[in-house]
Amino acid sequence: MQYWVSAATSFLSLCVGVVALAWGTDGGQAWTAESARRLAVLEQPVVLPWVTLLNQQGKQQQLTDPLASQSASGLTLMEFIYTRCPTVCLAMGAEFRSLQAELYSGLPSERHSELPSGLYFRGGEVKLLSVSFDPEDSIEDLKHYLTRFSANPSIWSAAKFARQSDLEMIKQQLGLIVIPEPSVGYIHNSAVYVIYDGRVVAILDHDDRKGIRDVISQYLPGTAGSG
Amino acid sequence: MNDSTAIAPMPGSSKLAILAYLGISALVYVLMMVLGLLMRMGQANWLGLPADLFYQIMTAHGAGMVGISGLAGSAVMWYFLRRYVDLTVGILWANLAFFLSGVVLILGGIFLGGYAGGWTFLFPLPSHGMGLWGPVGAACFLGGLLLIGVGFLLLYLDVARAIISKYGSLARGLGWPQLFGNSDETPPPAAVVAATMVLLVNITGIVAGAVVLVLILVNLFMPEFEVDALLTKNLIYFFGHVFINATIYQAVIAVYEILPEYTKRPWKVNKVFLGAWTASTIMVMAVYPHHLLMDFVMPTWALVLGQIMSYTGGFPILVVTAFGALTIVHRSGIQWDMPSGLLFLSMFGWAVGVVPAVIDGTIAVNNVMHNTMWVPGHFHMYLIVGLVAMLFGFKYYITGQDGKPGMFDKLAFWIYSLGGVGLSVTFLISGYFSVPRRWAQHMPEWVGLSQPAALMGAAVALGAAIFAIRFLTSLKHARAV
Amino acid sequence: MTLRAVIIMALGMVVAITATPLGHWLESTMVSHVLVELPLLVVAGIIFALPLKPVSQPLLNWVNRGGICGLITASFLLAFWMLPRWLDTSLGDPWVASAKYGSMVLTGMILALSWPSAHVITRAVVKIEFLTMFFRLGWLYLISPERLCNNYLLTDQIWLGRGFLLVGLALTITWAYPILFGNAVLEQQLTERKLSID
Ligand code: HEM
Ligand SMILES: [Cu+2]
Repeated sequence: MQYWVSAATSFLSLCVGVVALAWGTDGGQAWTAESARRLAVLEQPVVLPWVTLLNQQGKQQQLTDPLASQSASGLTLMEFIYTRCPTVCLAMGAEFRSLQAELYSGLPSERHSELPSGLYFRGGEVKLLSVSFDPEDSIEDLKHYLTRFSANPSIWSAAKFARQSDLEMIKQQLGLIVIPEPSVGYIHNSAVYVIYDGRVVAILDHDDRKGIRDVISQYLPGTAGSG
Repeated sequence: MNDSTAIAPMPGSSKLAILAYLGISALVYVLMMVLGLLMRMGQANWLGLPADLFYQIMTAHGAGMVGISGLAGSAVMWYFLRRYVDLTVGILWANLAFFLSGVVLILGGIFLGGYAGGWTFLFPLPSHGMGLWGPVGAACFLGGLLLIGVGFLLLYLDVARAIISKYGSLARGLGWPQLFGNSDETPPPAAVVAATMVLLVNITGIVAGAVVLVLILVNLFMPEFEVDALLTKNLIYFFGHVFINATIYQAVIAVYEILPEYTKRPWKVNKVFLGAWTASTIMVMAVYPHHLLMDFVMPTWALVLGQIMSYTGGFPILVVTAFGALTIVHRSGIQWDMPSGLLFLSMFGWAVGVVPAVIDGTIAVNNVMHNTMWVPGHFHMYLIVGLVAMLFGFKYYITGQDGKPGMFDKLAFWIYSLGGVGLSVTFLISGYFSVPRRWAQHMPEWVGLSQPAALMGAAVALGAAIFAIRFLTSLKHARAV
Repeated sequence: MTLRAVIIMALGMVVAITATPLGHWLESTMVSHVLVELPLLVVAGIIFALPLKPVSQPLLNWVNRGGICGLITASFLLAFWMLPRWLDTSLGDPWVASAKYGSMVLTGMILALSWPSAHVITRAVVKIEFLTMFFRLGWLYLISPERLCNNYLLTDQIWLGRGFLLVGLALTITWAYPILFGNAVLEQQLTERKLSID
């Protein structure tokens, strides 16, 4: 009798354990905190809060509206950086530069069909935004950062938080991790945040070009050059 | 030492379990031989076997043969070991349960999931089904292997427990005080020495397998974790080689126990015998540090050494066993019947099968023969004519079919042994002419070799079928001691 | 040292880890987080369970025969906190952090209440599974191309991978040595003789 009770409890704990692991990984889909937040955003886009930024020209702008020319239905690809970063942010900047070239190929719209497939002429609707989380970054630093990557100001802008308290809110809401680290500056998670209609709809690896193209054609279907 | 009167008969459940192991293995051997025959017929162009089906069959044949050999070998070990130490019957049954559930998963993975990567698949094969199989098929196959591993782990842990509680430690089970020290205590019996060696290498092998299989499973579902291909390959091969080689070290206990009963001369456990078993243990285990050190770029010499060791690790055992068997039989007036005949044949097959392995091992460096039919040639020789003959010899013995053999038995003996030698030799000849292994479709000029091979395969399967029937119909006479 | 003193010390350790900068310091690198902090909490749990043993035995005989249920539960608790996701989250979220501390102490208690009644084979299986887990995790952490925890650097992860392999190796040697070269029969006789002298 004792034997059977114990067999039952063992079986029960096995089942509970398996269920717990399945729950803890969203059914085997999210093993890391990073993949968990990406999955969560896909399922439930995050509405961006009202946050004021200062851009590289020292002008105020809303997080949801990086460039004045942004059309209402446009997409913004956003990254969090700090300009002194010796590692990841450099890679992210280089990646944005190449993305910028792809978005703004300079070809007139009649010739879009000549672009290799997978390239987009989306300079008008897709904007790039690099947001610094480092309070020590000045407007000048932002400017330099953009020049370093030959940013085209009509596509790519940089900005910092007007109020540091807003950064805390953003960290909470988006799962952005920024840890001061004496030797390097900061440890932070690198990703591209896709913003559509004031909401973060996807979080992708900064070098996941295919994923970025897919999101663009998902949200802005049927415009020139997609394919 | 083999004084049966002094040994208490097995309780009913032990006897039943042993017979279940042996009965299942007899059936599976015949079935798997038919699969082998189908492959050979496909290669001989006598059978239109689509390539994907060929590889599924090959995977099933390889995994099935290795698994069932492990099961049958462990039954022989258990049967004789219980004469000396106190084993747990429940665990014997548990192993069978794990084994059968593993088999279900493996068969599902192969024939439903379409997995056809081979039983010692080359990484990254499992995760690259190229449309033939998905991760689920591969995962079922790997999961099945893991289940079977767990079952055997339990069995060997129980053997370890029993040996340690009687002899004190595994080194003592191998007879080290007698070998290295000056202990004048009587050394452990041959069965205990062999079982100790087997549990050592197999537990280590299973641990290595359990690590690497899980890593591959992770890689299946999260390809960004790129498992080091070389290390993985070595671990898998090693785990596979150790496991299949260990089957014969278990089955050989039948030689140590049964031949003395025939000749009324005890099997001498002397320093040479102990030394050989220790040497083989160390040779087999010595390959491990290279793998476990996680040396991501393995130097060539380590690879070569590993190759040679895993092929020739059993050489010392073979030598003392063959020599011991010859001396024990020499001028003993032994009566030749099915058990003694098959056991003696097995010594021949084992010895002859190892020679090409040594050749292969030493020249594996330049990879001349390694991927040719030479390899299946050597292992079919020592598995069919060595291991499986040993096992069927034991099956005749346990069902009390000793004494003058019947007509059918004699016939089966000769078809089986000549067929086995012939099948292996045709493999070897093909290998000599550089016919590659693991090719579903053979070039026209190779077909000439595959056709006689198919006939030989049919002979082996027929012989084994007769053995199996004779065993299954004599179960009621099975001995309990 | 009395049992009470040991328990008080363990309690002190738990408080130090959960409520003082010590915990923060231990969590600042992955290696000390996983290979020092968590094991210390488990040890504390083992100590807390010492006085519970006699009291709970009748109940345990029913629900935890042979320690199987407990060992399964403990394995899953450990496995859960080995998920990078939750280890990572515990660094930012105080609720998750408390759950982690609690689980580790609980794991220790469960282990202490299960191990003594576990069969030799069960113990061996648990030990082997434990070892294998160390080797698997070590290997995985070494080959992971990206950071598994947002709070730690890639190099941290590689150090932890090496740490896992080292601990695995050390455990293998400690556990295998007596089995290979000891003398269980002699020890058995010695304990028996000691008992009869007592
Ligand atoms: C009637 C007897 C048998 C026949 C006709 C046969 C035939 C075959 C054939 C044709 C192959 C594939 C060779 C190739 O092209 O690479 C093969 C592979 C193999 N056989 Fe057999 N076999 C027989 C018995 C056995 C036995 C008794 C064992 C083991 C106890 C065994 C173990 C294996 C293994 C491990 C492989 C390797 C599979 C792989 O490469 O993945 N065979 N056999
Ligand atoms: Cu950075």
